[in-house]
Amino acid sequence: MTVLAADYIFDFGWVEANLPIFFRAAFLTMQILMWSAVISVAIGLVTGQMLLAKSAWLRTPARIYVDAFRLTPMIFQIVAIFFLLPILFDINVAAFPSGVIALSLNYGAFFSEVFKAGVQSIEKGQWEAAHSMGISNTKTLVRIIYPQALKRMLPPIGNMLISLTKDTSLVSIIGVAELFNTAQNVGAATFRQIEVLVLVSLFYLVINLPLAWQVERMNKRLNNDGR
Amino acid sequence: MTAAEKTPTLEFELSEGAPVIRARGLHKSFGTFAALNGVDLDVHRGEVLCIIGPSGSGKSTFLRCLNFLEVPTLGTVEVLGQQLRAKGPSLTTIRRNIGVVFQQFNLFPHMSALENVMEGQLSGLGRTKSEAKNGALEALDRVGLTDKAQSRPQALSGGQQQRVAIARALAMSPKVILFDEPTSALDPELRAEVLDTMRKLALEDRTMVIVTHEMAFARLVADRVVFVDGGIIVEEGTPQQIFDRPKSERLRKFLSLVFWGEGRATTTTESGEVPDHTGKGTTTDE
Repeated sequence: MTVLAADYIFDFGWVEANLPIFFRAAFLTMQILMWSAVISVAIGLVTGQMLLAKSAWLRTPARIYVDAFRLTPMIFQIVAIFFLLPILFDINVAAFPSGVIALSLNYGAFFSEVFKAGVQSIEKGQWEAAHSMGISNTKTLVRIIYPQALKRMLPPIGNMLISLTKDTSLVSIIGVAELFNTAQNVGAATFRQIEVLVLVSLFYLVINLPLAWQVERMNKRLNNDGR
Repeated sequence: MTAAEKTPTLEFELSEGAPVIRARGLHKSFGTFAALNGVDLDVHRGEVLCIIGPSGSGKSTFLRCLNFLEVPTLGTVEVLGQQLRAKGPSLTTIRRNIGVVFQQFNLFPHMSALENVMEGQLSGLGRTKSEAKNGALEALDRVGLTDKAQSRPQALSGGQQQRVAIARALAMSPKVILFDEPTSALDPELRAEVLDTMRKLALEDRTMVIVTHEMAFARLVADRVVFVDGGIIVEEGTPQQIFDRPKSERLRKFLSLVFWGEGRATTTTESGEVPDHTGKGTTTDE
C-alpha cells in the first residue's frame, strides 16, 4: 500500500515564467520536423526507386544504406553522426543540422521501403499500357504509378510523419535546445520533472493533431475520388 | 529528355508491299518452359490478322513479343522497317506507332475516360492539351462513348472500359493495333459491343493483329488466320481455309473442341463435306 502517490502535489507555478522558453523550443522542434520530413521523403523517393532498379549497381548500395539505418538504433545514429564524424573524418557539424541529418537518414530508410512497396503494389498492366504508348519510365512513374500508389501509401506516410514529430525528441541528447531538451533543463532547475514532461507532451500533441487531421482529410479525399 | 523522346512520331518511308511487322525466328522461354519455338510472320499494311490457338499455345506471348512487352529470347522483330531492341530510346519511339488493347483493359483508374485517351498523346506523342483533347473526343466518338468522357473506368461496364481502351489506342494514330484477347475478360453479353467496334475498325484500311477465341468473329473479319500451337505456327490461311478445310490434325482437333455444341452452322464447308467437328447441333445452357 502506498500513499505516496496521493501525497504528491502537482505544482505548475513555474510555467508562466518559463513559457517563452518552451515556445522557442517548440519552434525549434517544428523546424527539425519540417527539415527532416522534407529531406527524408526526398531520400525515400530516390532510394525507394533504386531498390526497384534492375541494375545491382543501383540496388545494392541502396539496400546497404536502408538496412544500416533501419536495423540499428536511431539514438546511436544521432550520436554517431554528431560525435563520430568529427573523429573519423575531421568534419564538425553543428548539433541542429547534425540532428536533422540523422533523422532524415533514418526516416529516409523507412520511407524507401514504403515507396518501394507502394510502386510495387500497382499492377504490371499499368506499366504495360504506358509503355505500349511510348511513355517513358519517368513519366509513367510521375503520371500513372505514383498518383495511384499515393492513395495506398498515405496511411503509412502519415503514421511515419507523426512518429517523426515524436522522434525529434531524440536529438535532445546532442544538446539541441528543442522541446525535450528544454524540458530536461527546466525540470532540473525547478525540480518539477513530472509537470514539465506533462507540459511538453501537450506541445507534441498540439503539433501532431493538425498533422493527423490533415492526413485523414487527404485520405478521405483520395478515397472519395471515384466520380 | 533525349532527342528521341522529343520526336513525336516516327515517320518511315515504306516501300510498296513492305510488311508493317516482320518477325523472324522468335523464341521465348520462361525459365525452362519454351513458350515460342521459332515463329516467322509478316503483317502487311491494311491486313487484319487473327491468331487462334489453345490456351498456353504461345499466341499471347507471340503478340507481346511484337512490341517487346516480352523480349524474345531469340529472333528479331522489325516494325516499319526498324528493328526493335530491348534497350535504348528507339523502342519507346517505335512503340508510339503500335497500339495495344489488353485483355484486362489496363485503363488508368485515377483518370476519366477522356484523360485516359489523352494521356498517351500528351506523355507519349507530346501533343498539346487541346490537340490531345480533340483527338481523344474524336477517338471516343469512334467507339461511341462521347457521353462517358468524364466517367472514371470504375463507373463503366467491362465492355465500355474495353471500348475506351480501344479509343486510347486509336488516339495515338498507330500504324498497327495489337489486340490481346480483347473480349476474354468480358461477360458474354458485353462482348458484342467490343467485337462490333473492332469490326468497324477492320472495315477501314487498318492493320490489326488480334489474338482471339472468338472464332465467328475471326471468320468474319480476318483477312488471314494463323493457328498457333506448342509455340509454333501450325497452319495459316484465309478464314475459309482454316475453318472449313483445316489440314493439320492439331487444328482439326482444336476446332472440334472449340465448336463443341455450336453446331455445324458456323462451319459448313463449300464441298458439303462434314467437317471433323463433333458439334451435332445440340444446344448448351448458354
